[in-house]
Amino acid sequence: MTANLRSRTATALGNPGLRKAIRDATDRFTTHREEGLDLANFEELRRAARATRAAIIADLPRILGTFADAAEGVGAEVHWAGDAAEARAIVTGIATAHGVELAVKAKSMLTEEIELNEALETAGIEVVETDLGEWIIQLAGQKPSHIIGPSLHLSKEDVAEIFNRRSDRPLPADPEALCAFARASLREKFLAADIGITGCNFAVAETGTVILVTNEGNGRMVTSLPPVHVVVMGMERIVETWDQLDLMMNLLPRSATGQKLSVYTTQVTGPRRSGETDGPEELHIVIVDNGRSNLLGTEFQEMLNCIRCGACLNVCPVYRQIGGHAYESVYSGPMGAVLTPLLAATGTSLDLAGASTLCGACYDACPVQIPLQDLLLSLRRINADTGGPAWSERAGWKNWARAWSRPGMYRKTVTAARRGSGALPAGLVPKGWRSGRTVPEARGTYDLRKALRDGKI
Amino acid sequence: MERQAFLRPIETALTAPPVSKSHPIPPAPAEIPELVFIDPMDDPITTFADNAAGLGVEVRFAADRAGLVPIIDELARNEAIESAVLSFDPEIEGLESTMVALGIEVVPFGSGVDIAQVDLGVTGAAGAIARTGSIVVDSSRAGGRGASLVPPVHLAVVESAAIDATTSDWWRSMAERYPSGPPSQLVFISGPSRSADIEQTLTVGVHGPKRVWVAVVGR
Repeated sequence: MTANLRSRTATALGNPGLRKAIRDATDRFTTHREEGLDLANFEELRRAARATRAAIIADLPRILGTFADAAEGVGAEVHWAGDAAEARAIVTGIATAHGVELAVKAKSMLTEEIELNEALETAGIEVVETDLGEWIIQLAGQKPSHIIGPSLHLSKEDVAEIFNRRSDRPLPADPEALCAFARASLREKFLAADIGITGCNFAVAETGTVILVTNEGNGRMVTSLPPVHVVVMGMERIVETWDQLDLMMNLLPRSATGQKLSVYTTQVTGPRRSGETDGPEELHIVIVDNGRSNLLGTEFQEMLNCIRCGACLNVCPVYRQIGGHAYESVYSGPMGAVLTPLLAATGTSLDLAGASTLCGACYDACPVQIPLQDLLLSLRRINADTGGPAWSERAGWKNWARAWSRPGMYRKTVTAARRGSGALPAGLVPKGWRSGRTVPEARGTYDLRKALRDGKI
Repeated sequence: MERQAFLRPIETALTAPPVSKSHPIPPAPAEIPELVFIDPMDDPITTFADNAAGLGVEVRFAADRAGLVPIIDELARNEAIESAVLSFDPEIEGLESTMVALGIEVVPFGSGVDIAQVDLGVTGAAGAIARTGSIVVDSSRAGGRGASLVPPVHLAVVESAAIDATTSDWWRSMAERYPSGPPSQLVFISGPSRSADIEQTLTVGVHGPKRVWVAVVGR
């Protein structure tokens, strides 16, 4: 990928196939979300969810402690990872201690964030993603372009080409045939795997339960067949009570895909019990900070309320044009543009806040009402204060602000602009702005006072 | 790192209250609001059957346990079932002899590898949820997880009296349902396994069962 957001955006915009794929997919997500809505008090639930999530985050140490005690009480082993390196070391350590050769994974953005697969592979372990979309991009050597639909940028022809590199017989570009190939190939992996690795949609503190939401059933396979199950959990991915879980789970699938519930809502409380024929003998839960605590006590704390539904991506006019890869981060769209620079805490990726029109469509779609446009604006301010834009641009805005703070100067500049705009040659408009746009013709200005005087209004 | 070392910086950071200038956060509600649905629901059993069928589930009704025989017969013929694995759920107690009488080989419930080649998994369901068309499968009463997961066809038997209206009937009464804590795996299953990862085209039967049948007993 190329160096800056501007050139990555240009690359994405120059690919009509990609733009169509993204537009179709996000349209479908949004249509399903809107048409599937069967709740009359969705707005009331959103307000309650926002307040509930905020209260949980504000009380995180106590609730995480309750969760860890309950999970340990039912036989799970809880690990604490301050950063990505520690999380990788813990999971790799568990795998090597068990002599693991093959790991199967359910889709988890956090494991993408901490680059777990690379670490396991370095330790000589074969890692297989089992969510269909994740498997496709793993085979293609790509990164997810959407937190819910990781491969939505690829066409069925692309998928057929990727699968045909490993298939004995040629596969047609038909979703059903491609799916059948994935089922057969991955079934072998589920049965042979020594360890199953998943993320965590929610943890329920009061009983030490981990909730996983999947449609394909890979989440169930990964948590049922291998002898060891490792959950990699972001520290904010938690509720305290089952009442709160009920609220969140009635918002998450509806906002993500428009489903009332996903096909499988798997609720794991400890490893297998005596008298059960299957299920993992060991359950490890790795709770990861990796920059999340940077947000606490700041104006960005509310970003930790995010429940990762992807609705803000689907409605974002910028994401819908450029897709996830242009963000060059695990999380894309409005939530990614906010979260990525904050997790990094090193001033990187602050330019992502520019990939927004501040229209607020993300806020309208967000099931926990995160004011994403405010957070994006704050990040732009930080970017400007830390010397993001060029001095000439900053000076220009400063002078403009000063001029328009005084009525006299305001009138003079407006008059000058009115007279000047007609004479402005197209060549004076900066080239970067002109490419891909048409310079509007000056048509004179609408004079409200004159229209009133002439009785035209 | 140790738990305390992990939690201490979080505690410190949280002593500064968060700022939300334009959209102040309201205090958490004392009680989570109830779900209010747009469409009224007369009868949970009918609503369950409609919603489950909408997800691709074959729903059948039986007046009593004896009424399961023709349903299993129909299923076995339609889905070309030659072998089955049965969970230990109370709803399907004694069904083994029925299966054998219908010429179906019954394979003992074992690990994933043991049941990998079996055509049909038969389980009970601890309950069902009308609004979502889901069945509730509980590993502790089933005696394991694989019977509802590994075979390509799943038949679940649910008592009509165990069909509740919404997810809240389960999740907001977990403490009453499970006084000594939830089972090792509790799953809400809403239709057959599906994916839309290839061009958003709905494809059924990715990893879990391709076909799901639910027999409602007692109506």
